[in-house]
Amino acid sequence: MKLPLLITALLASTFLASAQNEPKPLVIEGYAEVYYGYDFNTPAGNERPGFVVSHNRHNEVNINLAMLRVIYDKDRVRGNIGIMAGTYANANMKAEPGVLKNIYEANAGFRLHKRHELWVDAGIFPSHIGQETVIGIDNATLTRSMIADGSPYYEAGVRLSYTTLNEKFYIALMHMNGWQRIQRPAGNATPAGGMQVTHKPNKNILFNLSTFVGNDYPDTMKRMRYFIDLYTTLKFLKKFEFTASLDLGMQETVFSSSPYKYDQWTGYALMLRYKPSDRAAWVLREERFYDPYSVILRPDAGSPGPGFSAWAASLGHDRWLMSNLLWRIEGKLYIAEDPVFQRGNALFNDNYIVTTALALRFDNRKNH
Amino acid sequence: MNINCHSFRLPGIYPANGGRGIGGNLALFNDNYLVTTALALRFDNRKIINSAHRVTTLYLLL
Repeated sequence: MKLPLLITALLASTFLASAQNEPKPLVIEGYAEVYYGYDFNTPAGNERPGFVVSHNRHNEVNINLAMLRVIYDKDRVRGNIGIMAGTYANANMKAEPGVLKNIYEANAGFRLHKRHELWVDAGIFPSHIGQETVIGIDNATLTRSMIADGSPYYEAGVRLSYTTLNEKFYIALMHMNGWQRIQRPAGNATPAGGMQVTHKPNKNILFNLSTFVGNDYPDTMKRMRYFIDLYTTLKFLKKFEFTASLDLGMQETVFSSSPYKYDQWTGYALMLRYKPSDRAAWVLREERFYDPYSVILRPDAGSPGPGFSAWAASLGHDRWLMSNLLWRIEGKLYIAEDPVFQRGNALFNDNYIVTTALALRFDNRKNH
Repeated sequence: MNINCHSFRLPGIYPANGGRGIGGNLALFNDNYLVTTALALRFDNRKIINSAHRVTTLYLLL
């Protein structure tokens, strides 16, 4: 009697162990990021300048992003459904109607080839543009760079993607509804598209190129927009990570007096992260955004001229209280070419902010 | 769970004002043509529970 029991126990434990090693087809994941920011310009409405969409509330404890998602990935089918709330959603989803504001992602995909990672996915996705994401814990810095706030955080459409078997190249083509659009603007029927190429020659280096082509206005006021985003991430000396991002954009001009056919904007962000241990990190960032015609970023009301051009720098400290709980603090300053930041009843060139945040991520991947 | 991911309409079939009226701003017509496609995915954890049950059953039977 003892022997069959022993064999059974061994069989069952082997079966369970192998089941535990396999990735779960259905994962539930949650993310919450609480923050407190103090803007030394003390905006009257407790809201940071309009071009800031993440951590944009002043002098109050608030949620930047609370997100719950279900991830399904089995055989040749995959899908994600994520819902969200927070000041990010309020600020960045203003153009979306109704409950679409609360969709972080909702997509379904089918693998076209039995062995190769050739997928077609459709729905609402995190944007294919830019190195920074809405989920702060995945970013080197607490607050988002100007080029991140000045490019899409999400997109809707159809994506055809391929990852090579050695996972060194990822190539994707997108048909999209527009520039950060789930719902098209009224009167807009212009197809929009983009592509992405990511190359990882080894585990320490990553290169990415993303593009966008489309029109964000009704067809009667059509203005084609062309955009390129480049970034690279380099890890070196085991404790350092350097990221350089560059954005270049152009859009058909609306200024009849302009000698150029296109209004252009550009921006970059440089980040250096030093991680002395698994529990702590220091991050230094320098960035610039130059948008002389305010195609993308607009200064506060009342500022001179149509443009926005600013330089910014930040220093941040991260501390992992647990493996999935991160506390961070960051000081940031902006210096603009024109007086574009409101302080009291006047406009100034500079802006200083201190932000602290607590970020938690949890999922059921391990405890099956 | 069930989602409808995307719906397409052929360019040119719907009017330039975003589909709010037949014939756009120019005129009204009696007819309207529409093509729609959708991708739907449903997933649940029923099978995961079943596999756990199978292990338990196997153990008990033996």
